[in-house]
Amino acid sequence: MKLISLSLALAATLQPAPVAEIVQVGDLAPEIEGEWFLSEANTLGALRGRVVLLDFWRTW
Amino acid sequence: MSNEPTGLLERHIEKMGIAYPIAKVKGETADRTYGVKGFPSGALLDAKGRVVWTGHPGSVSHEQIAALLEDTAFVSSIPGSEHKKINKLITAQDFGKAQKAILKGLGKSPDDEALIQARDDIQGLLQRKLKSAEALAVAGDFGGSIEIYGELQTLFKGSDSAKQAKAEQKTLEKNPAAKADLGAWKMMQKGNAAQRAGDFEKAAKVYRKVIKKYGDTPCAGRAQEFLSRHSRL
Repeated sequence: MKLISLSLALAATLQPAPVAEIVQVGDLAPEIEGEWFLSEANTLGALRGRVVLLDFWRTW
Repeated sequence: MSNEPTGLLERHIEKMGIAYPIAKVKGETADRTYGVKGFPSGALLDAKGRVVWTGHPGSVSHEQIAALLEDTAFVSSIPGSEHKKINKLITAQDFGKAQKAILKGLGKSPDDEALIQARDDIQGLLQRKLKSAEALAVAGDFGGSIEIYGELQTLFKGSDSAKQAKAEQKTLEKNPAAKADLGAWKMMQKGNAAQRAGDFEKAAKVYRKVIKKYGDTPCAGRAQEFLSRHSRL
């Protein structure tokens, strides 16, 4: 039994990691999980009904 | 959106005088989901939370934003400090109560131009929404139409306009021609929720069912568009 579960575990690690699907124009925007500043809303869902410009940035 | 340490972000917000919402995200998940390859990168979302554009955030067109704003429930606040209570209702998009408060104000001062403007803006929003709901139903997009009636019931909660929207929705639900698309629309909600949760595989599964069961509806058309965009799923 141990051997089977070990080989299953090995098979699982040998499987290539699934490629995450990328959002395309036309899709419903997936939620952005995180800690929100300067906002009463803390999810994209709470901003529904508004036009939103997402800006991915870094301070550097 | 950034995944940098809180302290760094707070200093940056203060230094740059940033006043818009900032989300501190964990790791690279959001970047990967949105296909971010460099910084800055942007995505523009419409009022439904649908991605309508991606690119450099500095290159988004003002015309495109203006066109999207047309479709939102945006009403300008009343200038000046006299109408705080009404402005609060307008900002909260509680237009049923805002309308009542405005009419009460106009009862006392019928020539208050700012109040007249606000009344007309809200009325204009209502008419615009009712018109698009009707146009969608005429075009056979009953799911789209019912979404607007639902939205109006929220925006004008407790008012006659909400009752009117509800009545229109009921009429639509009884319309035999609408049956298939509304069935598809209901089914699609699960797929939409999965998309919003970032579970595109589950969404694809639901949309395939929609197409199988309700092949010839506008909703199925949207489901097919999603599958064409994500042919790997």
